[in-house]
Amino acid sequence: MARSKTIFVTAGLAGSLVSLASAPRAEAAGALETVTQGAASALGGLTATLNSSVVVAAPIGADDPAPRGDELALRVAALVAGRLGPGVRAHPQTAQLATARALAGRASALVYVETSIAQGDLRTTIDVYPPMANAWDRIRNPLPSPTGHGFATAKIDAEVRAFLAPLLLESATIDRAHHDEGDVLAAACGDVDGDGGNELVLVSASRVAEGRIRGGRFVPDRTATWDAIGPRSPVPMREPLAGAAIAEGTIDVGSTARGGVRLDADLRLGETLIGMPAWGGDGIVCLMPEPSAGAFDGAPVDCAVRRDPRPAIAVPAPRFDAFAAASVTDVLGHERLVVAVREPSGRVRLKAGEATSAPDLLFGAQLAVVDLDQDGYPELVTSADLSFPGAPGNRPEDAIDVASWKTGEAGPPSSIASPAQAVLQRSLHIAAPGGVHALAVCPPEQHGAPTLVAVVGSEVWLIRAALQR
Amino acid sequence: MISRRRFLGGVAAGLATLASPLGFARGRMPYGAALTFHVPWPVSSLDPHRIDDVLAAFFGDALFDTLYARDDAGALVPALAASDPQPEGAGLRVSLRPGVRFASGSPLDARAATASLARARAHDAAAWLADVPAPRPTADGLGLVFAMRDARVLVRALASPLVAIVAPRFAPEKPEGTGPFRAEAVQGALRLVRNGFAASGPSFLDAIDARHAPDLETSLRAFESGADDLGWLGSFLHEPRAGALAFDAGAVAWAILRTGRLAGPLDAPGTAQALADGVPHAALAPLVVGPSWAPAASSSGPTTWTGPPSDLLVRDDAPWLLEVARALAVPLSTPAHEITVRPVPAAELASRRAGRAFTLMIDVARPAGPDALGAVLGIATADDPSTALDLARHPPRGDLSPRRATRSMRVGVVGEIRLQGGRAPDVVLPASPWGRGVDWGNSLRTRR
Repeated sequence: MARSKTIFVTAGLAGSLVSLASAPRAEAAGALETVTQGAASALGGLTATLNSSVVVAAPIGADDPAPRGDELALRVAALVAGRLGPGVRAHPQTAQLATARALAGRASALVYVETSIAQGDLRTTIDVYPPMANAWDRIRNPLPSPTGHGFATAKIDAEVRAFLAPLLLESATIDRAHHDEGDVLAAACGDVDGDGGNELVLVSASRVAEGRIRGGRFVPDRTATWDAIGPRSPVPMREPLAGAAIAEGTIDVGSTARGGVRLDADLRLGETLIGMPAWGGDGIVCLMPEPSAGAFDGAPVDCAVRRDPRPAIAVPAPRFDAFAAASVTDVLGHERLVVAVREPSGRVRLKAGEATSAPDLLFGAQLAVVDLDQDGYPELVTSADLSFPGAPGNRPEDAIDVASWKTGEAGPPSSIASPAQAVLQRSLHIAAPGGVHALAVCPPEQHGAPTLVAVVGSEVWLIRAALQR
Repeated sequence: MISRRRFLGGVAAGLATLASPLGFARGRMPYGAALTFHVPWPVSSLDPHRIDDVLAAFFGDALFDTLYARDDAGALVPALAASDPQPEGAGLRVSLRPGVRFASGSPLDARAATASLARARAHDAAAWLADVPAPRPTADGLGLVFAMRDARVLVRALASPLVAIVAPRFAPEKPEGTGPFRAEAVQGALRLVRNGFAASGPSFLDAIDARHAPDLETSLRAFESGADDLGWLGSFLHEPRAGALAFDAGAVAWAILRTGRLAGPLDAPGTAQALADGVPHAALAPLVVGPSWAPAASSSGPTTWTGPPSDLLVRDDAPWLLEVARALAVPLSTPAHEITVRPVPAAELASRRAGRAFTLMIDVARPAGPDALGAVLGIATADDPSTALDLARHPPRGDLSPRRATRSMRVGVVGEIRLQGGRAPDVVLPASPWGRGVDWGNSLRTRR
């Protein structure tokens, strides 16, 4: 019995910021592929004995409406059957275990696949039962122990969402909570301690705070002052940029005033990072600050300190002051790395695969990429462009803009828009007069929807697409 | 000489508003661009440790840092120091931030910091550092130990721009520090270029060109035409520049009047201030010398020159100071007691000042520190360093206003040297955290 390795990470880089869309995983694949591969491989050597078994899906269990839930369960079962071998047959209907045992008949084994949706997770359990050729056997031993067991989980993505109630971005909800962290530079969200719930990390110039929203407030559970975890940089940026990224058991934080460090779940100091940590779509990467430019230079690199840092991912512009990346899965389960950077001029450049694009607009310094409504198209989340003069009191107010990145051409709705053809369609505009200090993304949790975290003035806003009921 | 009417036209706008604050909500501050302007002051050297260096008063923060500095909230915080002073033995240890480099790339270590403080003390910071013994560098080269106990006194002293940390073998003609800019040698200009090693972060602006103006009109003319980005002490000469805004970064120093030993019996404490107070504010107002002062009756001593016809010395490369001298000479003169303005080279002025071989002299004094006592100590240092040292050890109580404190000195405050004028609409000039001058490192242009 094994649990497939999953890593859930979100990250925010202040000003610039890094954030993650749907649940990133160690494996570069959609949730369905991840859970079926993970659960099937957990069976180990038993798989070789299942070449003429039958796979039966249990009715889906879900904590929210799942209009096509059983279709999802059957899809998982079919994928499991495919993993187990060419002779393995998937039964076309869901069934309770007792029925499934009868359905298995003289097959070499019953592979019973239970799929559930809970707290943003797609969870798949595989139990292998020995053959029960006749009714007498089933009566004599009505509850045989499974001879094999596998389990895997992954965060819900667009492919899974296609079987569930849709999320409506236009009806997004905002929950506001007060924070006392002062001038927040970066935020990150994710399950640090592996308890299944997301923690929130806020990075200010003076400290790092990890906590949760309770009773309308951000309540830090742990804090670490920068004086305790990072010496001041010899050459800081005049306007500090900060970053944060959460991985299982670790919190990577950094600031151009202090450098980057890895902390454990209790915010104890670990190793030094080579640059500013950020979520790179498929893992944590480090951005290399150039203080003379007030920006980052070159491709993000692996965070290990080394003489010749290795580029980790390609970026669509050589110099940028905001960065966001996410692996976005479409409704067919195809995953693609989407990278957005903001050049110091305020222009955003996008990259997905080999294609790049630059919308003819100016954007603010906060940036995130996420598939908020899990429709398979990434959303670009930005703050407003405020970098032009105006008399005090006459400056434009800050705002959060969410734009879906979709192709303007007819095409399969499942495919991620090719950036060369892409158009940004604004889905949401939220006035944020307190100033957008940081953006981050939480992995799917409540209702299976990812949460956009926006630190606006002295508040933390949790923005979620609404579940259509 | 600029006409008063013409000059006042430009000044009006200069008095209207204050420097723009930083503020783009959560947008990014734009990097790049340059500022060009003319200053009616000599620009060939800059020494932060000299009390009479007006260029240091204007631009010192652009080139140098101190071990401690004031933050935006007004608190004194570590700057080049790594932390607050820590007890070590019977003294206090100030640790340096590791890895900090001067603009040339040479490292800032304890030896360099110790030498810089010694230089400051040997020049004009002796009174300001009266309570601070000379430190010894620690063996690890990363700290300075001061034989004293009061950390608050130490931090306050080390935060003064008069004790800014300069590079080893410092030369005022090639000023080098750890500030947001580094200086480049350019004929007739102080050129400040972004310092890639800046300990507080490289500047937003690529460069600042402060060019020497031979008179007061040059800056206004250049600003009015759009050639310059700042107008010194005003916004225009003939017609207002479209879109021009005003800035006022306050007083950074004082023009002072000295009496010398050639003044005979008039070279007495209080005379210089009495004479300065006898000059109507209106006579100097076109030169933007700050608020009006109390009438002469409050001073002790003659309010016009009562000695024989005499020269009023002033350095010949400082047009603004020259104008102040001229504006002063007229109301102070009476028949048979005329005062004649006599411009002299800076070197001669320094020589005469050292020997007190003059009758009257117009000069400059900066504050030694940011508080009221610092102001008085600055002027006192300009008067007589040994007297200033006594003053530092036995600070006066009560009214510490400069014009009052100088009644016991042979210098008098004539007026403020202010940093104000007009600016192009896209120029943002935040005020220094000290409240005096411009925060050049955070200055920027909003135009992309």
